Amino acid sequence: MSSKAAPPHLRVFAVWEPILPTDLTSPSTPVLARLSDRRVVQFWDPAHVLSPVLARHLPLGEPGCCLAGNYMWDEVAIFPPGAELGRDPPQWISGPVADSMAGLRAQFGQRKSAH
Amino acid sequence: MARVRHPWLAILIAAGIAIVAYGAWSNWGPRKTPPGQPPLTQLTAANLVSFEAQFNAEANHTRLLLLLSPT
Repeated sequence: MSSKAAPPHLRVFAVWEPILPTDLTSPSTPVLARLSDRRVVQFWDPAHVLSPVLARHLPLGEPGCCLAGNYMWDEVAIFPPGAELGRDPPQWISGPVADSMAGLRAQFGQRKSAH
Repeated sequence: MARVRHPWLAILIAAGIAIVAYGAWSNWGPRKTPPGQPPLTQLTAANLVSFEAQFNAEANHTRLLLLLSPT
């Protein structure tokens, strides 16, 4: 999703995890540069500490994809204003990320219409 | 001046060293986030609470949470 399409009052928390056999170390500078927007903050989660926090508040069977063992990955979740991680489920979650761009754009299109 | 017998061998060795050096830098070199972003932070059980607090401190904004793998 380009910077032009995303709303300005958006924050992106990108959490990298070692999932594939080739994920030997934390993401390199070129990998981190894939998310170059200033609204992004990036994390490396080698112990998968975040996955259970997110999973705890998801409806059963959601998002229906993208589990590596017990760890969630390759997903994008939207938390609307007021929602808290660790207390509330995301408003929308989908994966794989590459296949979720149309749905993500639709979500922001809908949110824009609602305001 | 002595002649290099197999110049192609020297080129091959130099290329191999360059590839290994790039791989080492890629794997173990410094990780720099793009301009305007804070440094990459490693999540642990100890600082997970801080991550949640940071995420929830932005609760006046819509937030995207991305779970990704580097390769």
